[in-house]
Amino acid sequence: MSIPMIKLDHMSHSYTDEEGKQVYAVRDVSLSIQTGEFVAIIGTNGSGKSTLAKHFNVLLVPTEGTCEVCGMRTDDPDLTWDIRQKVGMVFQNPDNQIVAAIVEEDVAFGPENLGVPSEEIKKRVKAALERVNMTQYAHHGPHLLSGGQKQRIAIAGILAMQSQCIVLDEPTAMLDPIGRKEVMDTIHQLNAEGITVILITHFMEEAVTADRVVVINHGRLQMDGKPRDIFTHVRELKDMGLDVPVSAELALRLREKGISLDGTIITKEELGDALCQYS
Amino acid sequence: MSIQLENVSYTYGVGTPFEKTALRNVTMEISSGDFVGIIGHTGSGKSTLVQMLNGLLHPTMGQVTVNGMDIRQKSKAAMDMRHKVGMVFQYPEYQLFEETVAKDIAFGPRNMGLTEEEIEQRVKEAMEFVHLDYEEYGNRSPFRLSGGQMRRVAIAGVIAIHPEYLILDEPSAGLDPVGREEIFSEVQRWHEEKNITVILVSHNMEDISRLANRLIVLDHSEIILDGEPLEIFAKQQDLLHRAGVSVPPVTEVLQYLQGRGLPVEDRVRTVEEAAASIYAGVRGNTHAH
Amino acid sequence: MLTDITLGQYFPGHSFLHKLDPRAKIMATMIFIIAIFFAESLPAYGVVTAFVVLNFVVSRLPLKLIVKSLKPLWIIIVFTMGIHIFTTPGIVLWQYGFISITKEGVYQGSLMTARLVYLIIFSSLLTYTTSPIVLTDGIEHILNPFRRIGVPAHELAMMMTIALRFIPTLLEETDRIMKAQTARGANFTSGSILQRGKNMIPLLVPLFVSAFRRADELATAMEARCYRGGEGRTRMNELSYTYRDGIAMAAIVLVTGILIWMRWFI
Repeated sequence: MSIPMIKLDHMSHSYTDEEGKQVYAVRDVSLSIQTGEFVAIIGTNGSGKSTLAKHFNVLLVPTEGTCEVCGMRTDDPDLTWDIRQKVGMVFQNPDNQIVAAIVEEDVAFGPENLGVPSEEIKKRVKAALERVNMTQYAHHGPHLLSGGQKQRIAIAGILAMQSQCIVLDEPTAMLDPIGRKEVMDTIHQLNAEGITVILITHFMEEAVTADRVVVINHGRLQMDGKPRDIFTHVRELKDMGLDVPVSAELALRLREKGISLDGTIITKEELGDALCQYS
Repeated sequence: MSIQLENVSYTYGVGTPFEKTALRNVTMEISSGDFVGIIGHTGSGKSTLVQMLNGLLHPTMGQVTVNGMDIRQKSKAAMDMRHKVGMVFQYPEYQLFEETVAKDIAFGPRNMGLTEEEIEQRVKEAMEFVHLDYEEYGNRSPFRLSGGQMRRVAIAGVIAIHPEYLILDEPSAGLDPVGREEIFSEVQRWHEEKNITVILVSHNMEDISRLANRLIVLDHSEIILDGEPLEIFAKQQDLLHRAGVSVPPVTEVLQYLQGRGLPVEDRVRTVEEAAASIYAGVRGNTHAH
Repeated sequence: MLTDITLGQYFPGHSFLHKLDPRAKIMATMIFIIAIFFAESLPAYGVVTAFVVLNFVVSRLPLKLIVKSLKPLWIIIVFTMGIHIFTTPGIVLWQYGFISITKEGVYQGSLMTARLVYLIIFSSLLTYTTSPIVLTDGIEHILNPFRRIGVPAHELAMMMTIALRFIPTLLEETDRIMKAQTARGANFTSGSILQRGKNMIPLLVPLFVSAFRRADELATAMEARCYRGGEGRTRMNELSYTYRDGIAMAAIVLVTGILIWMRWFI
C-alpha cells in the first residue's frame, strides 16, 4: 500500500490556558488520508477543526502522538519546508493571505520562496492561473477582485508551488453564494485532476460533495465515513449543533410520521425517487 | 410611521473616471412593524440602499424621510431621527474599541446625551437582550471574548440606542447553526415584543423565508421584486435566478418534488412544515389510488 | 469613495522610459539631481531644460500629469521665488518702503525656481513611469550591496510591497468602521482639535486591532507558503539591463559632463 498523504496517529494538541489548566483543542485523533481523496472535515465553531488542519502544514506540531505528511514526520524541523511545499493551505479571510499588489506577483510568491528559476516561475504562474480560470486578471490589483476570485488566486499560489495536497480552512465562510460556488467548482476540478483536497467547513452542503466526511466535536474525531453514512445520522449531527441536508432531515421526519422510507436518503433526487415509489 | 424613499438614486465618484451608479430611481416605503428581507447578489446595490436608510449615505437624487423627516438636514431633530435607525454592519465585532464590554455598549447612548443612570439601564437591558450576563461580562475586555460573544456585544451596542428600525447586514456570517439561531431568536423576539421594524440583508434564504414577512430583491441597482417572501419564492424562480439569487433549500426540494409530479405545497417556511406538506401530499395521493 | 484612489503615481505605458530598468532610472534620477546643482549660467540652464523636455517627450505622458505633480508643492515654489527676489542685494528695479526687488533677485529667483521645478518633474517622471512594485524591486537591488553593513535590503522591500498591497484594504476598512461608529452617533467632523482627536479613538482602536489581526494572519499565510526571508529566494521578474539602459546612462553621463564642463571651463 502506498504511503498516505496525511497520517495522524493518536494525535493531540493541548495548551495551557490563563488559569493554568491544560486544554485539549484536538484530542487523540487517528486518521489517514490517501492521495487523491476529497475529505471534508466538519464541526461547529471552536470544535478544533481549524487547529487540526494547521498540523497538516506544520503551522502547529502535535503535543502528543504524531502527524506524518507523505511519510515525513511534522515534528522533524528539517522536514518543515519539504512538507509545506507538498501541502498548501488556503485560509478563511481572502484578504489576509495575498502578499503582493499584483495578482501574478502573488501567485509567484510561493515558487520564489522555493528558489525556482525565473523562467520556470513564469511558466508555473501562467499554468496555475489557467487552472483556476483567472488568466485575464493576471495584472490586476487584488483589492479589485471579488472574494471568490481572491480565494482562487490563493489556490493558484499553491498550484504554482506544485503542491500535491490543498488544505482549505473554511475558504467560503466569508463569501457570497456565487463566490462559494466558484471556489467549490475549482477545488472539485482540481481534485478530479488528482490533487488531494482537505476541506474544513461548517456548510454541510459543501461536505456532501466530498468523497469522505470527518466530524470533529470537542476536539475529538466523532464520525468518519462516506457522506451518506454521516448525513443519515440526522439526530446526532443536530445534537452536535451541525446542519444536515434538507432531504435527509425530511426523510427522517417522514419516517417518524409513519411513511416507510429508506434510511439512506440524503439528496432531493433520492427523496423524489423514494416518494414516487411510495405513492 | 415609516421610512420612505422617493425616486432615490445614488452614484459613486460623480465626475471621476470611477463613476458608478449603485442605485437607480428607487421608490419604496418600509412601514413600522415590518420584517423586511433584502436580497441580491454582491454589487446589486443592497449595501448602498441600507446605508441610505439612516443617512450614512445621502442620495445623489431623490429624498429619504424617516417618520416624515428629511434626514439630510443638519438639524438636531434630523440627527435624532437618524438614531431611530440602528445599523448592524457585517462582522460588527471589528468595530469594538472600548476597554470593557459595558463601556463599548454605552458608546451609542452616551453620544445621544443620556444621563449616567439611563445609560447604565440601557447597557444592562442590551446585554440581557444578547444573553450576556452584566455582572460576569460587563467589566471584561471585549477583545478577550470568543468571536460569537464579540458579535453579540457589537449588536448590543446598537440595541442600546433603542432603534425603531433595526438594519442587520449579514448578521450570521461566519457563525455555525447554533450561533445563528442565538442571534435570530433574539431579533425575532425583539421584533415581536417591542414591535421594532427589522431590515435583514442576507444571502441565507433560509433565514429570510423563516423570518421576513416582506422580501425585496435587488438586481443591477434596481428593485425587481417586492412582496411576500413565500409568494416570491413560489412564483418568481426565473427572475430570482436572473438576479443571481436562489430559493431557500426547503423550497428547492419541494419544488423539485412538484416537478416529479408529487402534490406538495411549496409555500412553507420550515423543514417541519415541509414534512407536513409532503406527508399530506403523499397520503392524499395514496388514498386517491 | 476612499477606495477610488490610485496606487502610487504610476501611469501605465510602453514608452522608452517605461521600459528602462528601475535601477537605471533610480540611479539616473539621483545623478541628475546632483548634476542640476552644477548649472549656474543661463546656457547651462538651457541644457538642463532641453534635457528635461526631451525626457518628458520620450515618456509620452500627458502634460496635465506634470502640472498635477507640481500642484501640491506650489507653496514651496512660490516661497523659494519670493526669498530670492526680495533678499538678494543688487540693482534695485522696484522699491516700496523697505521691500525691494533687485535685478539679481529676479535672476537668482528664476534660476532657483527652475532648479526646483526640474527636480520635481524629473522625480515625477520616475514614479509615473515605474510601477510601485518594480520600484520596490529596484530599491532592493540597489540596497543589496549595503547588506554587509547591516542594511536589511530584502526586509525593507518586502515591507514596502506589503504596505502597497494593504493600503486599499485598510482604506476600505477605515470607511466601514467610520460608518459603523457614525451609526452609533460618533462625530468625526466637528469640535475643537482636542475633541476631534479624542473622537478618533473609536476609529483608531478598531483599525489598529484589525491591522494587527491582519498582520498575524498574513504572517501565518506567508509561512505556509514557505517564506523564510530573502535567503535563497528567486524572483519571477528578474531585473536585467538592456541596451536601453546603456543609452539612458550614457545620456545622463553626457549631460552631467557638459554641465561640469560649463561650470568650470567656460
